[in-house]
Amino acid sequence: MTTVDTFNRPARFLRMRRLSGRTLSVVVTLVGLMLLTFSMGRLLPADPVLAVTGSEVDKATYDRVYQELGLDQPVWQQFLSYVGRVATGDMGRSLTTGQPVSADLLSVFPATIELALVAILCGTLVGVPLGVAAAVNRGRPIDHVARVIGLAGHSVPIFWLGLIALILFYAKLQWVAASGRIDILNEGMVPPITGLLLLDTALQGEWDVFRDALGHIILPGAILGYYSVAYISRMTRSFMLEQLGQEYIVSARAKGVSRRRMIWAHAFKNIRVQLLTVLALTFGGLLDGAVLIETVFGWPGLGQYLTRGLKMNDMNVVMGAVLLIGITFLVINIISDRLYRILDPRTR
Amino acid sequence: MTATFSAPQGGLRAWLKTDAPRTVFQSAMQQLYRGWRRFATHPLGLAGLAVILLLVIAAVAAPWLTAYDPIAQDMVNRLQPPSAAHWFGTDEFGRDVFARVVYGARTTIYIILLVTIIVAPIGLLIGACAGYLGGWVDEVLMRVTDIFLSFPGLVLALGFAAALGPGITNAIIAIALTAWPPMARLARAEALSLRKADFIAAVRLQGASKTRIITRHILPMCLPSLVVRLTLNMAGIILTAAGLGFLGLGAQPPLPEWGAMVSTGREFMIDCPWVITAPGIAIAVVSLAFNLAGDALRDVLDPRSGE
Amino acid sequence: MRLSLLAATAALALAFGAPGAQAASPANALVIGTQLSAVPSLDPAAINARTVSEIVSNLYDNLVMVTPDDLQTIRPMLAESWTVADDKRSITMTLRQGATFSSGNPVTAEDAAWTIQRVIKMGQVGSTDIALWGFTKDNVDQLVQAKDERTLVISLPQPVSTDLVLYSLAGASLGIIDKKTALEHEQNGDLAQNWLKANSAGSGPYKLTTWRPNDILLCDARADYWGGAPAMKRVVMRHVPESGNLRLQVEAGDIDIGQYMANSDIEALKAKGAAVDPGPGLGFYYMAMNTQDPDLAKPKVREAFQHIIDWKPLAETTMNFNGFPWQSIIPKGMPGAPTGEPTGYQYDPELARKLLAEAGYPDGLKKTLYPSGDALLKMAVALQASAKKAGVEFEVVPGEHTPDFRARKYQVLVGNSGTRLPDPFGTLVQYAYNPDNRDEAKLGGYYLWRTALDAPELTQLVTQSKSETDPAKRAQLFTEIDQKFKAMVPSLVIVLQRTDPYVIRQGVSGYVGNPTWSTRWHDVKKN
Repeated sequence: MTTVDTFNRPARFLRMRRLSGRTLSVVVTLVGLMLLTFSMGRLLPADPVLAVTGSEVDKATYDRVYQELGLDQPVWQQFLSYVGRVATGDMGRSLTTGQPVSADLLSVFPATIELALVAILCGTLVGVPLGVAAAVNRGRPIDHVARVIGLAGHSVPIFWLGLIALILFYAKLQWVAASGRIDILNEGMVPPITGLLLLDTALQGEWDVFRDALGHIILPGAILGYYSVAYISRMTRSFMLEQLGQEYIVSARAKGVSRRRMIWAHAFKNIRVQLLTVLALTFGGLLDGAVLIETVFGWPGLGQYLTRGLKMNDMNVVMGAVLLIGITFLVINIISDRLYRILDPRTR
Repeated sequence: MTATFSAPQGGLRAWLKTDAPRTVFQSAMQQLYRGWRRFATHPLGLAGLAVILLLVIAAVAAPWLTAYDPIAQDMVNRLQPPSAAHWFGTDEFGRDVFARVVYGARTTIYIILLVTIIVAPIGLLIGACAGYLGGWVDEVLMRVTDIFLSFPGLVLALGFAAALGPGITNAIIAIALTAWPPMARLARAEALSLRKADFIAAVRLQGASKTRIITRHILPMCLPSLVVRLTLNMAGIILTAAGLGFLGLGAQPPLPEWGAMVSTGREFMIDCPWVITAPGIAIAVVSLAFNLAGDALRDVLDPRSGE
Repeated sequence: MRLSLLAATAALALAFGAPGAQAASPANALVIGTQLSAVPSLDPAAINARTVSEIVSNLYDNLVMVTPDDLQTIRPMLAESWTVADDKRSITMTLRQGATFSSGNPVTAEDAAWTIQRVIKMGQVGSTDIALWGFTKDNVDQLVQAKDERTLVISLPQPVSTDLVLYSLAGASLGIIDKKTALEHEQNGDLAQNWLKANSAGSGPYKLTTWRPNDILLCDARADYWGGAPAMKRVVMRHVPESGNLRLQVEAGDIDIGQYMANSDIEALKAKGAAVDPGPGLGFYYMAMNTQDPDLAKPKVREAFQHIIDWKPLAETTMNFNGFPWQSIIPKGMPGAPTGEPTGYQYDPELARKLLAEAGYPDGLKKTLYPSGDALLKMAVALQASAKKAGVEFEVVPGEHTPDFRARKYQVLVGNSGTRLPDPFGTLVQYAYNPDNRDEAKLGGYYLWRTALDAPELTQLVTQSKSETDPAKRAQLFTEIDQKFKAMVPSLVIVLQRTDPYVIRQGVSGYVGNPTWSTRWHDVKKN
């Protein structure tokens, strides 16, 4: 017992210190995020009082709400009360929807998450094999082709690609459905569990509705996914190259292991962990493209919510949406960090 | 020693190739030449560079490349398909699309230059200071960098652009505010590794102040990888600018800006696809060019990073 | 590699093989593609915009109504008859029997009285029309009373044409609310404002089923509607922000009615056989000049500005389907409106230059031009080009500038207006009425105030038209106001009368846009 104690205590102590150090850095980053969104919100040319009262208001009500919102207080005090409110989930009310921003976010966020997940899936299905092929055939034409394909996806303006795809796949070919997440016939047919339509319908066995939802999400998801193919295939290629240059590969080759086995069962297996972190980072980057794609496809997600809020100078919406995106990014980074530590056999 | 300075004998090539350079300038030029030769072995990189040059030419020589005024409206001839008179057709106000694309190159160059001027010094300085000085300076600066990195580029640029107001300069400032963190990160990494280098220690022993060390020695060493990263990121910056233009937060009308052209043209997209095709392709080609050129540049300047 | 290929093919097969990927709009449901942004509430008293007025007028019935084919005639709805007292200072309305709310409660005069009192007490945008007749928070309870189950008495605090009062009662904001149900959901004495934002409690042919802001609105028909169950059992309003997307869906038959569509898309659908209801509106596209700006305060400068707008090609191309050329503040067809083509200011850059030179600006002028919102950007850009030829340089600043307009913080602005009162008074009170020109008065609801132009004579005439009851005298008065307005070189230059087109898919009948925005779905049929 004593030996175990003496062994574990320093380790545990170190772990706790690392944990608290990490927690501290997370907290600091969170506060920094809120500072950023707070200043962004205050800088917007929008009157926060009008956000609450509406634009037709008499002087007496205006003054009253001005005081209620604490706008007569010094800025640092306003920031503190903002932090306090956010901590309890109160992000104010939206000028344009009339609903509390937190309620709005709850309904639009899953839509964007679902889109990003489908996009990552598409991006992976194309990007990973492309990257492996490029690495294995390094220098040969397929390497260059893979690079250009990936780069093209990253260079073409995504809103333009979306518009073109809509004409082709919706108007001309009639393969997919247009705006929205689901056909009007299926509105409200499936009670939401996670907010992710594909998951909800699959979990409850409503396959018709599942197919409908899939038809709606496949095009924007694929285009958004194409956007990430460059990065994914790039990283896959460079990780694979790193592996393929290693000694154990050479010796496996010498031992007569088949090429396919060598690539997939050995080299690829070793980069799976790194790829996971790449995917996590890509996910955050997809939020960029989501903002534009959602506008083109009328996808009722966070991106559209944010751009509309910016257009209408809806301060609470902008602050809430930007904060949520920042926190999501942060959480993804933390998760990928932890995943890396857990899964990478070298750090165990 | 007969130290006579002999004029470059055997021409420029010999001067560039000689094994014993006589001046720092010559040595620098030699490095540049060697780098260029390496760069020239990448066909795709060359293609990218060619496109960038084309962009510069289009911007500078715009009045000679097209007779049309990019903002003159001609309602009688609106939405005309491409023809001999209008190579790319006309838009909803009768303006020549080719002229707008060519003059739009000026806007693009303006964006590229201004972003570079803002981002490079800021990123370099912050990163180099953080990396070299370490300690709490590093902590604070990196914390700030992290916070900016916590947002996807477009979202942050959107927020700033909306706060600053419409207009191309404001949009550029917004983009620059989101583009400096990766540069700072990079400069910091370089500075960190350089901190332990021998020559730095030597200079420090000679009594050089921190400022001098950072500015005279660290910063120049960070430049190559910074140039590579900036070139690669420039593709993304152009896309972000186009995205802002698409969302209506970029150049004010009637200034021709490619992203805004796609945005206003999408109303007519189905019947008059030429209005958005040319600017969309222009954005894609220029962005791709920066990607390819940056890739080749990375091979040249920093061969250990990857392939 | 093989696994991912397999997965990809499977996904594609699932998606593309789906029979449900393309569902044509069902036979007994009406699908409307529109813009649902900026619909903060479904409470009749809190709204006055076009789309939400349409929604509300189908969830709630009014006491009276006006139909698109004859806007001047007031028809019975929940009130089956009414009489005006001899002194013309009160209206007694008799409600019909048998009308019920969606909750099952009968419609009584008390509900009507409470609704009217509520609108005034809440004092939000829904009350702008009815508040014009002098009702206030303090007097409305006494003035509007239910004598018994079926009798409502409205006493008028000021002498006002009773037609005007009835017109305002026909507006969507005065949809009669189920008092009992609403009060059950009241929170902190808010008169059920919070609940009614996203719920309906009306007696209209439809009741609200689903409301997701910026996304979708679903209404189901009421079989027990007093006017007979509507043919369309379900009405869906879908938010489709991209006009191109909306057009593709109308073409494919997924959507029946398209609203807020771009001109090229409307043209294309028209060519393919869709019907286009031009949707004339009671409002105008205008250019406003802030007379607090020293240059724009000079009448000669304003006169010059009348000649810098090339309105003919504007109406034919950029603003095609959005409006027709018009230069009077009385909507076409209304009493006192001019007949025939607009004969006022023409596009004349040379004349404009001359006038500017005479006013002391030989080198022209430079001003900032705000579009009131995104929809006006095209017009602003067109104006920028035509003004340039006349020596006026505009710097166009995109964005939402209505708040700046209301606060007098602009130089030149283009915008559009709308009113739901089917009477010239509706537009005149917006454009020719300014009771207090001081900054402190903050009368941002009046366009003339926003341009800081004082017009006491006009204001007095407009007030007079409010109480004048003889139709011939009214028409005369309106014409006089219109002419005097033009004579004072106004700060508001009318360019077009607005039209808000509805694209109606082939096979859909009975959908007629109402200029007062109470477009009703009850008679819509599909074959």
